[in-house]
Amino acid sequence: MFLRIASIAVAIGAGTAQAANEPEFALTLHDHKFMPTEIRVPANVKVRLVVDNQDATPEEFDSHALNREKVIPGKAKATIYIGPLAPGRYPFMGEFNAATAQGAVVAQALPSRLKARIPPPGGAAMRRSRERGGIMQARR
Amino acid sequence: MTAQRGRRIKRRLAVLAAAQAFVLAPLAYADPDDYVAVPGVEYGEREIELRLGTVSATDEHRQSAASLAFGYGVTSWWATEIYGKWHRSGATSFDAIEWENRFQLTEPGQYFADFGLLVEIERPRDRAEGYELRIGPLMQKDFGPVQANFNLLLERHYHASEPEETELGYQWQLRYRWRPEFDFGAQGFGDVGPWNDWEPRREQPHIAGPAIFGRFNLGGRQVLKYDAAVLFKLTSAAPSTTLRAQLEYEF
Repeated sequence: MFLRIASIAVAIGAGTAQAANEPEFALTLHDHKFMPTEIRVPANVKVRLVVDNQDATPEEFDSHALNREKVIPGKAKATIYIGPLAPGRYPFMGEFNAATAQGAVVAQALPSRLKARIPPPGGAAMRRSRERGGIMQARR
Repeated sequence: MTAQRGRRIKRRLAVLAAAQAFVLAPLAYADPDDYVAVPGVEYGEREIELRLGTVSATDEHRQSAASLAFGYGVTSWWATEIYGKWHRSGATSFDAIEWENRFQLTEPGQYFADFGLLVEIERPRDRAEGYELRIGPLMQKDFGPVQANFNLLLERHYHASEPEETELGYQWQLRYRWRPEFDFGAQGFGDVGPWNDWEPRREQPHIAGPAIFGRFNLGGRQVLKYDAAVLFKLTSAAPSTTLRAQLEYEF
């Protein structure tokens, strides 16, 4: 009970209302392999990775570059917050199956005219972006 | 557990035991084997941890301390460890048993900083010291490749033979993430005395200095982590030099 109150107090103090606006990107783990192996996110923006472990065994999402370690139980999902990231490539791996579970987050700076077009989470455009495994592409 | 895995684990433990026997030296001032706690918890992680520290003071004999612990990530937000602690100032003696609990209060990166809570209970071998409770918030924030930690800790003895006041201490750490095998930065420790009646600065012990960190993936769930620091006195009440090191085997 005390811990729950402490967690709530911290969340309120840290600005909970602002925590739900990050773009969301999907990452799947199947047969100890990440899909997509490269996930493109906007630079300088905090984003959420939703990792879906479709394997029966747990896996640990591990990235020194992103400074994230998280164990994801089998047949479960986990949300990992990363960024804001400077433009660049940030490798990650599944620590329990490092030989096959490898991937990278690529943070790309968007042209300023596109920054306003990053949709809020849950919209149809973001769902399409998740299916492509990357950020929205500019229309020409 | 297969026989092969069991043999691998036994070899790793033998390495840790040899390291302890080689490095353990007389133990020291305050808690020279103290370390900077972090708010993150890894569910299901098992670890064996060895901490060492030695202190030299200009007007005191060298003292050293060592701790050996077994830890486990019970849930995604609670990790617990049991420590055995030894002290040496002339002769080596068993010093205390400690039960440490870390609670992860926020998801890393979700808010402007990460928050946790440390709750430690120590039972010294010297029963006149009663029970020691140490509790306080753990805070961590990333600034690009730099990880910053700051912890405030309240410490008090209960059921001691002499009345004790609640004291306020702190830990801080800066860590530049350069390579998995080698990160570098700085650490600092200190206390101000009673939390509600700080001692004069000249009587407060504050130490700080350079630190190195790293990890080696051994395959499967096995990881070997280390961190070490050389800490120098910032105030006259602190020991002149503290050497501390920590070796952690996760499996």
